[in-house]
Amino acid sequence: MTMGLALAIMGAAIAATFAGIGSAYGVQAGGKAAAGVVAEKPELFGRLLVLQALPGTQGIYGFLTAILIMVQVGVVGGNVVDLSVTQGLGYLVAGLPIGIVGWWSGIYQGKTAVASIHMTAKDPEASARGITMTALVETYAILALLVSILLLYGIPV
Amino acid sequence: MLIPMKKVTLIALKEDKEALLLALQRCGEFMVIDTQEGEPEEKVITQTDEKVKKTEALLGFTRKFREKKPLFEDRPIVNYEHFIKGDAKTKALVEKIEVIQTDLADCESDIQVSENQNVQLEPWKTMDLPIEKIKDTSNVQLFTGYLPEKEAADILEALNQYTCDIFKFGRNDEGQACLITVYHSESGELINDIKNKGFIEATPPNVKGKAQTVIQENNKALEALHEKRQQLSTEMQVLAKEYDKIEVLTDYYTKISEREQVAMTETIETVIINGWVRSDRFKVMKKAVDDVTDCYHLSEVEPLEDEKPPTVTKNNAFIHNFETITDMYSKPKPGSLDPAIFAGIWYWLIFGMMVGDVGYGVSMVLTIFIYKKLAKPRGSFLQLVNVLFYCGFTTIFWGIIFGSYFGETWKPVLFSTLENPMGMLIFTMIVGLLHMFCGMGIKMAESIRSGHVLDAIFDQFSWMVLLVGLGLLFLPQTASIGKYMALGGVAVVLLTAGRTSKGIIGKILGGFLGLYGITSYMSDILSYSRIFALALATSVIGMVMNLLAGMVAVNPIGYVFAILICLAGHSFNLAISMLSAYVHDSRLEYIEFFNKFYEGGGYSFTPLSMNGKYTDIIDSVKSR
Repeated sequence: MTMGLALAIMGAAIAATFAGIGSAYGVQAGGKAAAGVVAEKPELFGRLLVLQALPGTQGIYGFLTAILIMVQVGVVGGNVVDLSVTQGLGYLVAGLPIGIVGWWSGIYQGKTAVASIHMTAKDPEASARGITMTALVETYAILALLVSILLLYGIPV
Repeated sequence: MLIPMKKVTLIALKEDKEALLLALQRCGEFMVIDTQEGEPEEKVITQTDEKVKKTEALLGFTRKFREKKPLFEDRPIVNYEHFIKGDAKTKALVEKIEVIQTDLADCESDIQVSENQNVQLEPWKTMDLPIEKIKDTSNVQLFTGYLPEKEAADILEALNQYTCDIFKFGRNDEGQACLITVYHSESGELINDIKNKGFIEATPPNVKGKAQTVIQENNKALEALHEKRQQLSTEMQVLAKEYDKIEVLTDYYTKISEREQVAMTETIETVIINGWVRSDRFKVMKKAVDDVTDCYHLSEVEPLEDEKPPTVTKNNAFIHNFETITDMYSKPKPGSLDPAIFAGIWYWLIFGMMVGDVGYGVSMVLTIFIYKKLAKPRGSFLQLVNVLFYCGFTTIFWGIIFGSYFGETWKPVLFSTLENPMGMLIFTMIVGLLHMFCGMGIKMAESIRSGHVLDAIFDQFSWMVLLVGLGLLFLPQTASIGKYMALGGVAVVLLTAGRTSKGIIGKILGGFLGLYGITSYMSDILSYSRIFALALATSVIGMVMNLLAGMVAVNPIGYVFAILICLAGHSFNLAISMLSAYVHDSRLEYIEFFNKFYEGGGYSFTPLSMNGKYTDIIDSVKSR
């Protein structure tokens, strides 16, 4: 294994790990708030589940980026590519946007989800507005995902 | 499709009130409009409401004594004629259960009291003196209390300085129980001294007789109480067999309460009730009234502009289930378009893509089919179960397209998610583009229908051309066409997005702001990459399970483990895949699809009806 490949794997690990941390925080914050509401109003479970799951997307994006990097360098399903250090560094950096933005936006989206869950508890009809407000936070994770994917496919191998 | 509603006003004689309300409740087509807007009236809690509360509480109590609880419970079925009479026997039964409940609670608290007393008396058991006799004499003062383990030696040593006597008894957590006798002259000094050293002054429980005797008496009483409790429980277990009947009675009271809560205006001789009726069911309701009396006035009018009728949607048996997805966002506003058919079909297709595995699809269809047969879900939960059931079929369909069978790849029709991730990513974005275009198309159709053809071209069509053009740029063959389409779209947006603003600067600024909307379109399209990510996650986890099973399958015992791993692993994977697909598919509908055209804001139609909370009330003459 070359140093370049190790760097690329690091990039994949960063993407999956940090975005996953953000999502895990977001989903647990949402889950704690939702559990409290469901104790009083079990009929809201379906609506709250959607709100709770919204901050879970970042983790999926991180996972997606990690898999794409691994496919690109041949760690998954293919022949391992001989990467130079520069190329490997390229993959490492490509993993950063979704890793970092996924991490923080997951946390912030979790906080917005908690607020929306509280709103839904008071007025179940408002849940759709809550979902929209919470989903807006995710825009930036999506933009980071786009940058990560474009970078990752822009690296000449 | 939305069903138009009619507002009806029923004026009838007061003497027919009860019969009329019952008839309206029986026909199940009439939703009462609460009286005047403004501050909601305080809900009056009637005697019937108390009864509902009471029987419901007793249901909870009785449930504990049911012998076997079936996994899937059947709801009791009761005939309408039988139901409205109320069941005198059950009323008696409920009263009996109430008495038992009180007795049982008393019994429990008595047991508690006696047991507590015994615990407190325990250390004093060896004291050969009736407890009420512990009293100061003319010369001697008595102290009772505990010597804590650690400080006991200190305290005993301190006692040597005084003319006193100490009698030690049993121990408990606080220390050793003891009785100290001392002359009055020294008592004040002594007690301060030993208290400082750690002596805990305490009196034994206030009972008559020796501790030993009291404990024995208590034990005897406890035995009797336990026996009584046992007896009451057995009695309850017999009564709990009538659980179904209590459920019926609860519904009976609930239905009476619903009739009592109907808002109406009364004059000296008449009552006036306002309500909503589906325009296609007005006749059914009229007939119900006709059957009671011919002395009434019934008027039906179209709802006014500022009135908000409830929403009733009617779709075919397939789309009907997907209404639950729309309803969770918001019911359509009366007079607007019901998005269920579009939302339903897209939900159905995208769900299949997100799970996308033949094996999982077949498992979904089979398990949900069996579940439906066994548990007989109802109402909106049945809709949801049906949604998942139908989505099983699209899961199979997309599984064949992507060649995924329990995580293994086999002859994909198009390509395999694992082998061609980039292709799959582009494919999901094209699906997303079509999904969004569908939403924008609906908006265009609405604009054109209301005469705003230019709005449709400027606000939706220009973006469609622009987005398609951007997409075509990626293919070398179509890059030049794509360039012109994209530029054309940009030009139209720039020139028209600010058309409603005042002044030339406002119009130019509006144009640029409109073009900035490209970011939201881009993030919408990218958001569909979650379809790819979820499909990939399903296959990868499935593959890992197969790999694990393959690793242990080396000998006969290994095969058994391999089968167990496969069963547990694939069930787990199917469960989380379905959960994520449900959530993320809903999200794509709500955020990416609905924000292109849909505004909800309706509320549901809840007529007076004979639908029980616990029971199914069967009506033979029901005109449906």
